[in-house]
Amino acid sequence: MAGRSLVSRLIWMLASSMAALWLLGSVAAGVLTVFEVHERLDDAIEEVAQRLLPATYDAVQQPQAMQQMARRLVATMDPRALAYQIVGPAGEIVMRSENAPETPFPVPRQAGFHDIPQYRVYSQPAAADGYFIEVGEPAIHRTESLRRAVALTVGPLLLFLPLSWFLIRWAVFRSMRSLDRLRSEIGRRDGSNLSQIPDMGRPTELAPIEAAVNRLLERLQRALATERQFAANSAHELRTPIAAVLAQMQLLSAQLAASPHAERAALIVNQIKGLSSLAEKLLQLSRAGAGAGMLRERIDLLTVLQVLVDEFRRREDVGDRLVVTAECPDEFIVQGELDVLGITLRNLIENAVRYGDPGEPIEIVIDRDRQIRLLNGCAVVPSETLETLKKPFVRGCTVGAGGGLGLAIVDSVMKQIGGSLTLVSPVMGRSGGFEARLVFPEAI
Amino acid sequence: MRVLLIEDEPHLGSAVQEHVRAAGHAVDWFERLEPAEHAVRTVSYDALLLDLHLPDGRGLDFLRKLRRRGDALPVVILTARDLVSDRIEGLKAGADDYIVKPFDLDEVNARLDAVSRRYFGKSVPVLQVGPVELEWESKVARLDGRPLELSAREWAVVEVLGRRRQSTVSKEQIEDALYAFGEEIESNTIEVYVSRIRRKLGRDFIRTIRGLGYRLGD
Repeated sequence: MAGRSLVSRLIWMLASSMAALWLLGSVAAGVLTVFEVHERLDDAIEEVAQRLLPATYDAVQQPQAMQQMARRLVATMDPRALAYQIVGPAGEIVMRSENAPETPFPVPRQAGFHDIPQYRVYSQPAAADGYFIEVGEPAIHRTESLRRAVALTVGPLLLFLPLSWFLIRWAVFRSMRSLDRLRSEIGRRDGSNLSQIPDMGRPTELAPIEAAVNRLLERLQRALATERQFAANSAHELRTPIAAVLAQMQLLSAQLAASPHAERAALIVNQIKGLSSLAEKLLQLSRAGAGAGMLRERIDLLTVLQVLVDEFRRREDVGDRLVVTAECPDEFIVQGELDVLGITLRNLIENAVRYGDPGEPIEIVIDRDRQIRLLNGCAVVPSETLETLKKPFVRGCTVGAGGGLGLAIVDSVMKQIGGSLTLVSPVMGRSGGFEARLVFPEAI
Repeated sequence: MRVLLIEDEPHLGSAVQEHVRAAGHAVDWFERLEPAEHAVRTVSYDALLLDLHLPDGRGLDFLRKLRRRGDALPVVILTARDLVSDRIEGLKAGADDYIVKPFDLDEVNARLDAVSRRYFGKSVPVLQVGPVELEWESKVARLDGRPLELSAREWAVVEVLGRRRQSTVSKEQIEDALYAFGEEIESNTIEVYVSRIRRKLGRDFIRTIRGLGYRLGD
């Protein structure tokens, strides 16, 4: 199961951390605002009480006149405005603002703040003995002030939260672009592309990854090149002595033609040929494995076929039996390595020569839809045998048996270059025969 | 046919030389390019069997040099390199055919004959000389439709004369085509072979041009 993407994980983590921080900040700002607003409003009440101190004396001396003046000065009935009362020693109201209740605030007669359901009241002993100045702030005013202050402080913070999510998203995507390009470059490297990752000025954090991948690719390329070189050298080093042994044995066999040892000599010649063929196929298998991943040249398969057809037609057992029909345009471009494609087609033709009916033609049909079909005459190959033929060391029949590696090599190469090998028997529209169909991917 | 063989593997070289010689051709065998270069400049060869990896250089460079100086000598490459790219390189360098090791010795003779046929105008599969019919590919001679057996050397003499159908071929030219360096040749060897051929195919099959040599009669 694929895990969540790094980008979404980063966005989620950054956004949630940011939200938590915003929330924490908002709570802190709210608490601080509440504290500060309380303090400022209390200061204001206190200040009002102190300003009323001088008025206490006049209020005691001329209560009627002061009351009227007080009504004129504070004529508002706004329920949010501060209300005050000057209360006498017996609890009577000597003077009050218009919006103050007609009965004294139900608070103890001692200096300081007192909270009652509708007011926060500040009591201040007046200049005259036994008198108290009581300034009340309506609770509704304080609540509104607090609500407004908190809203003004925390609101913008909460408003910026979704915006910050978009910014985080944008920043993460932008920062991950380099990683994305690197990922895509590495993703393009496979068995058929081992080229170095180009330097595109990646961030310092990614540079070591890029360098490490490039070192690995270089090492892999060197290993494959060594393997190819080994296969090529082995071919030379192995073939020449086998050729010498075979040639000498053939001479000996000719000299022993009339002797009792003739049969044994002929047997040894055949054994050497078989050994030679097996060694060749094993080398081809090794080369195909190492070579298919190395190069992705644009190869015209028709040129390869032309060389091979020319070679096979020179063989006495093939000659004009090999018939080529090209339905495609002038070229058939395939991406791969020339020699590996050569090995592939050679094995198919050899397979047709080896197992095909010697009296029947071997047809090579180059189709328009990027297919090459090789058809040869033979008895019907059972369907259960067909699929096993692609496995190494499995032969279709014992007559003219080879190493059982030819079709395995073809299948391996076709898979590596992104194509396919399909085996069909009998050939469509015929009562017998065998068809090997190669389908090549589009060249880039 | 006189064939130049350049092959550094002694057991393979000796076997090829022996087998090609048994088919009636003269084979000069060298293991290095340098003496082969001298030989190819001094002797008129009919075919070259060339290995590609030699102790003193690459066979392909030798071949390119040969072609650059306009030498049309038919060349068959004998090599352990079987890849399509090697084959293309060989053919581009001017090779006429390409045999991959290990090979069947009969295949070497067959390819030599095929190359020789392409070069020396023996594309006509049957040559009629009076009552004699010569089938080049199967190496069969018929007199009045009756097949006659010729030895490898006798057939080689017929081939040398047939290749230069319209010309007179000197005794030395026939000797050159039939005998390699160091092979013992009696002074009358060619006369002996001509005489044997005449006995089998009729007196008029080979005409003697006094003082010049021989040619196929008509």
